[in-house]
Parts: sequence; structure tokens; C-alpha cells
Amino acid sequence: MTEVNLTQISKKFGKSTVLKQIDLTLAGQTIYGLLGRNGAGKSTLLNIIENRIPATSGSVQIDGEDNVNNDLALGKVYLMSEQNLYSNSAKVDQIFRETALFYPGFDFELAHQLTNKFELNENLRFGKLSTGYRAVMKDIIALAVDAEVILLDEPTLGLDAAHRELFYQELMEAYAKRPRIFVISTHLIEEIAGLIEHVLLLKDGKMMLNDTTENLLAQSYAITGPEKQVQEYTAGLNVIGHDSLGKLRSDYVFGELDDQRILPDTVSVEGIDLQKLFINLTNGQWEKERA
Amino acid sequence: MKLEKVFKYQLRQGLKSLGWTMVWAVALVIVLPFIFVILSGGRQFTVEDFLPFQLLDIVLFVFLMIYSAQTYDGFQLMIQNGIGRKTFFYSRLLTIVTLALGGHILSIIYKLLTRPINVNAEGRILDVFGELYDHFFSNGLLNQLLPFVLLILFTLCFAASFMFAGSFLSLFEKKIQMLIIIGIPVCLILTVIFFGNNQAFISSFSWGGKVIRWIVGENGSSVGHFNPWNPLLSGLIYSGILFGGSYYFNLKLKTPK
Repeated sequence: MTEVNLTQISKKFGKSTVLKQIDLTLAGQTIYGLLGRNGAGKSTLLNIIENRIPATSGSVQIDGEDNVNNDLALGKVYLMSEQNLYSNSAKVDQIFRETALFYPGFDFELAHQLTNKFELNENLRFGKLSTGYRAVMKDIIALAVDAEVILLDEPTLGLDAAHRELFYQELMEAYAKRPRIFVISTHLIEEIAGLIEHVLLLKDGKMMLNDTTENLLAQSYAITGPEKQVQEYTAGLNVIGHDSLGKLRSDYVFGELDDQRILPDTVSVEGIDLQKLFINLTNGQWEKERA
Repeated sequence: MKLEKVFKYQLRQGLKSLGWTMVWAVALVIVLPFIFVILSGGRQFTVEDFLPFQLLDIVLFVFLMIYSAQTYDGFQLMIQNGIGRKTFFYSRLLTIVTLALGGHILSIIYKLLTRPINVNAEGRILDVFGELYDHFFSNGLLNQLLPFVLLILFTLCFAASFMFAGSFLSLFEKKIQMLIIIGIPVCLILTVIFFGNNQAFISSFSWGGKVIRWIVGENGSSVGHFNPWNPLLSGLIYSGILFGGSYYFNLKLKTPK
């Protein structure tokens, strides 16, 4: 099974440091969700893995081989990105055939099935496709190539709701048929929450969270009730944010609760979803409250 | 490395583009004037009016100029398909060499075929290189072969220049590219205007003439007996430096810029 190891990856653009000493291992047959707010460094990280841009320091190893200008290592990865690197004058079917030259196990049958389902005309030139259909074409290639590591950078950007749903279905089918590493970077956390098995959360260029979705959600709580009692109950816990409505308050806690504390009858404890966890972990309020 | 795969792909694409360039050239230089003359009902025409002896040479040089300079689009497609910069560069270099060689062989065949009906031919197939060096050796075969090698080398030096420029420009955004493309010639023109009348400035370049004469292989003998080893060595060094520079710039390519 392919393994991607990032060691102390840093990236600077001028004076601004986008990634700070990232250590990360992508392994097994797993769907990773790469989350982070705008400018967190998600696309930069994916571009470094595919060697589209160089890291300022650190190294990326794919199955133990350095990825820099290494065809063998890079051939195990396919990065679907917002950027359009295909020729505008090439037709869709021509792009499929060209991709198959470099990824010999390209699944033409799947690609044709998907173009039918998405109603993508294979005779159209890439430059004539709408933004949404360009994303669809790149998504289809990502699902059809035989790479072991599929990096999807905003795969549903420009897709309407029906196509987004169809894409997620097809992604799951492709994964079930041939499990491999998928890394999905997206803003639409709610839509992918049910798909991702492992969460990678980037904040301010650092890898803030790197754990299974199950583990993260198992230690994420909403403590709701009258303001005073909620604050008394959550005092000293890792409160990452809160919402208030009149005198009612919800404190969001990330981490273990104190079993010794008595929960007042008027206060309830519930789990929270990934989106809520993400918003509260990345909105900065957490740090302020900690400080 | 996936050099063979990438080379096959790039060569196929290159041949396709060269083929189309030739078709367009024939259409523009031969077919259109031919139709125009027929429609205008003017004078009688002869084959040589529409059959430029150098046609394929010119097409090849124009094609290689454009092809060699286009670096970034190819790089983007290759990196999208998991091909690194080194393979991309070596494959392009091989493609350019193959196209230059193939293009000139085709051109020679064209010249041989059209010579009997073309008065512009003047009997010369290897043009300027043949004229300068075809009596240097006592061996007739060598006198034909070396000018051909020099022609190929000259074509590669020409392609290397544009590959170097194209690779260098590929490192920059469009705006900076335009600034460089416009700025450098303007600076050169201004330099010539300001210093063109300065005798000391002009004489400081007097060595340039000597260098060029050495490169051409002028050895005091008459034309045809020039020394072909000088241009051969100079061409190899020049193309080596420029291809080396292109390689260096290729390793710096990134997307997004």
C-alpha cells in the first residue's frame, strides 16, 4: 500500500509563511478531509505533494522516494485542482486518451459512464466547457486514473447541487470498488462529513488536528442550558466557542468532560457535527478565550 | 523516468504541428498566389514562381522558433500527469533534435525532387554551409556530410536560443514577460542610439568581428575551403550552454507561478 510522508514541510511566499513545519503521513485505504479556512494553506500543501511547487524546506516521500522530479513517485499521485492545466484546444475524449498514456490503468469504461451520468459531451473542447463542467471533467479523470493517491482540491467548485451529490456517490463507489488514499480539500464540510474517515485541519499554516473523524466527534460536545449553570459546568474545560440565545447558552467543548462534575438537570450534553467543530476550532474565539 | 512515453507523445504532437505548419505554408505561399493568378487571368506563370526552393527550411525554422519557445503549457500538462521537470526537459530536447533532423532531411528530399523544375535551385542543396565548406576535405562524402551536420547544429543553436528564452520567460507572470520582451530590445536600441556615434565604444567591439570570423572558420582560404571544425566546436559549446541554461530554468518551473 502506498504511503506519503511529509517531513517538516514549510512554505514561504515572500515574507509570508503559508505552511509551518508540517509533519504528516497519508497511508492505508482512507478518505482524508483536508479542512481549513481560506488561506490556511490547503492548496499549497497539495501542490507540494504533487511537486507543482517546491517546498521552502522539508521533504515529501512517496513510498520512500523523494517526490521532486521523480516520475515514479509522482505517477502514484493524481491532483485534481481548481487550476486548469489541460490545453483549451483539446477535446474531452482526447484528454482522456492522453491521460491514459501516463496512467495506463485509466478506466475508460468508468470515464464514459460518468460522462453520460454528468451529461458531459466528450466532443467538446476543454476551453469551451463551463467552469462546472471543467470541474466535472477533472473529477471524472481523478476517479478513473489508476493512481494510488488521489488529491481533490475543491472538487465540487462550480458544480450544482445535483452534480455535487452525484459526484459524492460516484466517489464512494469508486472507493468501494478500488480502495486507495483520497484527500478531499473543500469548504463544504457538511456535504463531505459523512464521507471522510480522517480529518486534517490546517490553521495558520500548522496542522492543528490529525485524527479520525470518529475520535474527533467522540470528544466534541455542546453543553446547553441556562447561561450561569453552563458556564459553571464548563469552567476549566476546553471550551472552543459558544452561542447565546437570550439567557440560554451553548458552550462547545473539545476534549474530555470531567466525569466527577454533576450535570445540572437544566443542562444537556450533546455531540456536535464536524462543521460546528470546524467553525469553532478555526474562528479564533477559542484562542482568545484560552488566553 | 518515463522518458520514452513522454518523448513518443511529444514527438507525435510535434510532428502533427510541424505537418500543419507545412500545409499552411504551402497553402499561403503556393496555392493562394496560384489561384490569384488564375483568377486575375494575368500573365503566364512558371512553376518556380510558386515553388520557393527554401520553403521547407523557412517553415522549419519558424516552427522550431515557436515550438522551442513554448515551455509552460507543456510543463503544465506533464506535471498534471505526474511527469517531473527533468523528464519533460529531456523529452523536449530529444523531440527538437528529432524534428530538426527529420525536417532537414525532408527539406533535402523536397529540394532534390524540385531541383529539375526549379530555376531558383542553382544546384545547391545544403545552401550556405555547402558553399562555405564543401571543398575543405579531399573526401567528397565528408564534404557533403559535414555541411549537413553543421546545418543541423545551426538549427539546434537556433532552437536552443528560443528554448532558453522561452524557459526563462516561463518563470514569470504575463505582465513581467511583456516587460522583458519589450524592455530588452528597447534598452538595446537606446544603447545603440546613445553610443552608436562613440568611436571608443564601437572600437571596443572590434574583437567581435574576429570572433565571428573564427567561428565561421575563415582561414585565409577561399570560400568553400573554410574550416568546418570551428563552427562545429562553437555550435556545440553554444548549444550546450543554452540547453544547459534551459535545463536550469526548467527545474525552476512551477504552477501556479
